[in-house]
Amino acid sequence: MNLSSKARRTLGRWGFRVPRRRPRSEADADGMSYRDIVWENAMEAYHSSPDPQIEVTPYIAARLDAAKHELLLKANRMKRERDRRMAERRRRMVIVGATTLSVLVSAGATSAVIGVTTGVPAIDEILGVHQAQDPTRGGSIAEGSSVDPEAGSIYPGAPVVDVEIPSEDAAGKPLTGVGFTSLSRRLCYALPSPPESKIRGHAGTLTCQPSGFVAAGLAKNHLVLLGVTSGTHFILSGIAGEDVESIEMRGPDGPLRVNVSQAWDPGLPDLGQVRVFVGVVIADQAGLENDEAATNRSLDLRAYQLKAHLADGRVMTVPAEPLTPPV
Amino acid sequence: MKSEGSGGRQELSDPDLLASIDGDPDAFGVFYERHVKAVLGMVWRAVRNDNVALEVTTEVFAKALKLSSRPRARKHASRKWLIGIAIETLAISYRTHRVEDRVRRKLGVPVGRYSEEDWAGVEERIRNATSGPLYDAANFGGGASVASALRRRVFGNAR
Repeated sequence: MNLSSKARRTLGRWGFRVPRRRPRSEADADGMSYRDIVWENAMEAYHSSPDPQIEVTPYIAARLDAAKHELLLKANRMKRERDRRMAERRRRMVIVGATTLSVLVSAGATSAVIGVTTGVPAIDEILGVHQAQDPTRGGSIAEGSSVDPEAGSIYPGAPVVDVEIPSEDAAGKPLTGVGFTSLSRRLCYALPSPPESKIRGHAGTLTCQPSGFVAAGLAKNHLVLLGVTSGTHFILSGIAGEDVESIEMRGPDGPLRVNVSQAWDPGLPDLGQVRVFVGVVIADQAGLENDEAATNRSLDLRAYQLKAHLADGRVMTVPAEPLTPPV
Repeated sequence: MKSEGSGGRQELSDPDLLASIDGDPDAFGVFYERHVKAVLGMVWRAVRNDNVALEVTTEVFAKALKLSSRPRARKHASRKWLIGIAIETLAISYRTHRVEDRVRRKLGVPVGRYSEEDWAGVEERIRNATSGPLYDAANFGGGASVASALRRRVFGNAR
């Protein structure tokens, strides 16, 4: 059997018994290669003889010590690289395993009863629509989507927080989103769409992320931009740290209004108190026609600046790029 | 040289020491201390030159460190395993006309602290060897006939 080394390793991992390969040119009559002899058996003769003696002069001792030092440095470096690779692999496994959910749910879907009401009808509608898509609850999920059935339900007893959506076209009716902890212990927020978007069939946005992922982003930049949803209104949303007092967003047409919620403790590991923030860009203000925006054309975020004003007076400039877990 | 490492490490067998390098890189220091004089002594006896013997010995332990993550190397880790690597290193050096340093370069360990005269003398010894490690080194990789010859020489009639 003439298999490559990679194929041999793969077959071995799958439990196949793959006969050991021997170089034909080096295999002797008894089927043992020269290298086998040297590496596994041929040293019996040397092993059985007494250790050769050498006078270890200070020069030799110093060079042996130096070599040992260099090799140990390398051994430690190899361990750090191995640990880093393992951590990266584990992190990817966790992130891939976790639900990364940012869905636009259809307003036309059947509403469903959810276990815990938010007290905000618009949010209940989003969550209900989401659950209605869950096949385990009699709904249906579009093919190819990976929706955590529990992401749309609030973890019992966990506090929630309201965030007002700065929509100028809300016909005078305030729109309120909510930040909450899902049944699957992820940090979530649900944001109803402004009426114009809703007419086009978008009830709102539901975003859930693992707490560790959010915590890593907050540690770096004090806020993480998690979602940019398009429609007649682009909604930029995310999570900010407790120490963020306000957020300034500036686009090609000047500053935008961004609302930040009260700080709340979602009761998740890795995370302390956090805030939800929401900014709205009306499509035609962003230089796009509404129809163009509604077809999910992306907003050119390079033209936008995001700044976090911290409680201690510092101002952090944050890249206006949605943070997405690597897959 | 001072011995270092906890008492626990000193008690470990060679395969266990190599296996523990994943979590405790300093275990390699214990493995090094345990065998370096024997390997150096064997190589020195073959080459009769301090600088070349030190270079070869360091390359041997660099190879051992590189191989330490492989299960097969861990299983067979021992003094004879190191001496096998030493012979292979000498053989490659003989074929390339310079002390083998590929693994040390890859690991970033300093190399090349010997002169051309040092190596010329060693090469002469290898060329003229009729038995022992230098004979093995001179014939390493020579194919099935050399393998059989070596096997007969090493194991004699007992195998």
